Amino acid sequence: MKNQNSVEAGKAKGAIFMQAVLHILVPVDGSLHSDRAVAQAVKLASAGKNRIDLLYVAYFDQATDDAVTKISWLPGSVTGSTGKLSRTILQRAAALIPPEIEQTQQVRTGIPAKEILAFAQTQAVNLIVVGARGLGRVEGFLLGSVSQELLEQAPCAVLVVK
Amino acid sequence: MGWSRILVPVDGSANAFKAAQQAIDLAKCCEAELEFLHVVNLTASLGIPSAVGSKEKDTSVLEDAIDHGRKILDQLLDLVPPEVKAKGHCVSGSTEKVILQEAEASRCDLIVMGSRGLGALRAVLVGSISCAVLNNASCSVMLIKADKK
Repeated sequence: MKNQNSVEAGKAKGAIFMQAVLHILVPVDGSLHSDRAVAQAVKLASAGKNRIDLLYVAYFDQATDDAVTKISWLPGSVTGSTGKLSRTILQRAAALIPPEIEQTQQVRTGIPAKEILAFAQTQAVNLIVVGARGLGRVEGFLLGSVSQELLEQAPCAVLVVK
Repeated sequence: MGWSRILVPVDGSANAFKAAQQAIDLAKCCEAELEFLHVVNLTASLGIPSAVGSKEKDTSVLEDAIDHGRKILDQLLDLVPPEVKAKGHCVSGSTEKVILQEAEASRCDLIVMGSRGLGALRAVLVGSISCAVLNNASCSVMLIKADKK
C-alpha cells in the first residue's frame, strides 16, 4: 500500500534530489580530500541543472596583503598573499568541474566552520560535500574538526567523502 | 552519476524515514540499487543482556523486534518506485557492528542515514551510531539532518 501522503509531504519539506536545481556547496582548501569532495559533487551535479559553489575560507583578509613586508622566517601561507592563495586554491578546484555545470568561486574570511555554515544558511544550500579530513590544521582524528562541526551544525544534508 | 549501491540503515525514527526518502530519490537519479537495513539490538533498546532471562522469553522478544523491523522495511520498500531495485534486511546484533559489516559485505559505495536516531537525546546533533558509522565506514556517508521541531 503506497503511503502517498507522507511521500508528498516529505517531498514538499526539503526533498534534495528531485528538485529543479540542486545547490551544492563544496568548501575547499587545496588538499587531496577537498579535490575528492569536488569530484563527488561533480558526479552529483551532472544530472540536471545544478550548481556547485566552491568556497574557500581565509583567516586573513586580502586587505592585509602587503607587497613590501616579507618576514622570511614565517611560512608563506601566513605572510604570503591571501588573495593569491585563495585564487590558486579555487582555480584548482574549479578546474575539476566540467564547463556544463554552473559553478561559482567564493571567498570568505574568518573561522572556517562558522563561515561555511553561514554561507550554507544564507544561500539556501541543499547539500554540503566535504572530505573526511583536510579542512582543518589538525590531523590525527578520523574526521577533521571542521568536517565534524559542519556535520553537527549544518542546516542541510552533508556528504562526507572518503 | 557515480554510485551503484546505497546502504540505508533505518531504525524507525522520523529522521531515518526522511533519510530513506532522500536515498530513494538519489537512487532514482543515479540508477543505484538500494538496501535498507534495520538492526535489532535488544541489549541497547531494552537493557536485556543476552545471557539473562529464560530462553522462551528472550526468543519472543527477539521475534517481536524482528517483526517490527520487517514492518518498517516493508513500509520503506513500498515507497520505492518500480524502476529502482531495492531490498530490505533485518538483522539482530550490535547496531554499529552490523551496519559496518553489511556495508563491507554488500560492497556499497554510499551510506545514507539520518544524523540522529531513536537512541539519541534531543540535544544531540549527531547520534552515536551515525557518528560511529561515519568514522569507520570505508565508503562515503551522507547524513540527513533531522527536521527542526
